[in-house]
Amino acid sequence: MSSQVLDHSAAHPANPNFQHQFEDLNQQYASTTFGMWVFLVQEILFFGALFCAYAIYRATYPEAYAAASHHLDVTLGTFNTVVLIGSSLTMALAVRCAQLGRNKGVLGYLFTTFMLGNVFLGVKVVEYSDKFKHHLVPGANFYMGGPYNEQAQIYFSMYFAMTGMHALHMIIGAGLLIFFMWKAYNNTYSTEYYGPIEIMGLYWHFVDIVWIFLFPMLYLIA
Amino acid sequence: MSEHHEHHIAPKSMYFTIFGALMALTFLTVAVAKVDLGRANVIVALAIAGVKASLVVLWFMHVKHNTPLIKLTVGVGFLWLVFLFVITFSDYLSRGMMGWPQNWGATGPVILNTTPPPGVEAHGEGAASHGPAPAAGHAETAAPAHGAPPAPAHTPDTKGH
Repeated sequence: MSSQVLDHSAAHPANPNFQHQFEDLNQQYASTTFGMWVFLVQEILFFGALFCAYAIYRATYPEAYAAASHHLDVTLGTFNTVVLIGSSLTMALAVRCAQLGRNKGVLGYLFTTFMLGNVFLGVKVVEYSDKFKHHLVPGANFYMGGPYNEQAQIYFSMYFAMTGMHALHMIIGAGLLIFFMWKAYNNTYSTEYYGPIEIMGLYWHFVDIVWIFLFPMLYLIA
Repeated sequence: MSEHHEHHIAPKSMYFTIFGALMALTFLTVAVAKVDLGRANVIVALAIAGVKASLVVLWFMHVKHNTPLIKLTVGVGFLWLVFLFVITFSDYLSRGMMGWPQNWGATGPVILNTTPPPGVEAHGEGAASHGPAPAAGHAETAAPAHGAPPAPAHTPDTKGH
């Protein structure tokens, strides 16, 4: 048994990314991806609570939700969905390059993912400023008109809370992408060590999944 | 517990296939939303989103070819999400079933659902009478913010933008 342990440590003597508390790089990979998934389960429930609040108010005020939803631009929402799913594709391809140890490919795909993420956030800025212009931000100056003026504030509160939380995750993700681009630029990843890119991918895909639900829930209530 | 994760490297074509499916489902959900199916609209939209999320989880996030530990963790995560929804909704959706006040009770936001009762105007004037004379004008402009009817002054302001 002890000879096996020696074998494991001898197998990766040169890899500077091997952390000594693990038995080998395989165990390090398994532990870190498991840890990321535990974090994502917590994130699922965090956004789940927001979706739950959304659903309760929607069940209570369906007409107000429908009326307020008309003030969102479906074209911009669809465009952003395409952009974000596209960024998930490039992220997945970055992970694939990392698995093959191609650092240049990782760098290129991460940069594309980063740019697509910025396009998404840019469109979000346009949408938010439009809401401010048209008095659709909940508060003293809120004015939508129509019979559901007051209840529509609930819808827009949920809109800003959910898309705002999602956008915050995107901003954090963009920051992480810069870090991993720098790591890839320094040829950090190899066929035996690519766990961090895999984990970055898990985070980015999770943010994508949140939007996959946000888009029909907020934009497509006819 | 150190399972040997085989370096399951999927071909590029797999990622493009999943991406194509996600795109098709995105445009499908937009198209279906334009058709009035009544209550089924929500169910269809959620079903499509669920399929899209499953594609991302299984293929992009590599859960399809992963260790039993990861599969269990993901499954349990969604199970807890189901608990969150089922337990919360068994409360909210069952309110009023036995003849007790619907929605949020007697003094909840339900009041806002109706057109403003005549009492709203009286409330505004009452608030004005509390303050000194110069404050009366201020109270008048502030009053509509509490009641349902929007301030007339807002309307030209909104159109101005």
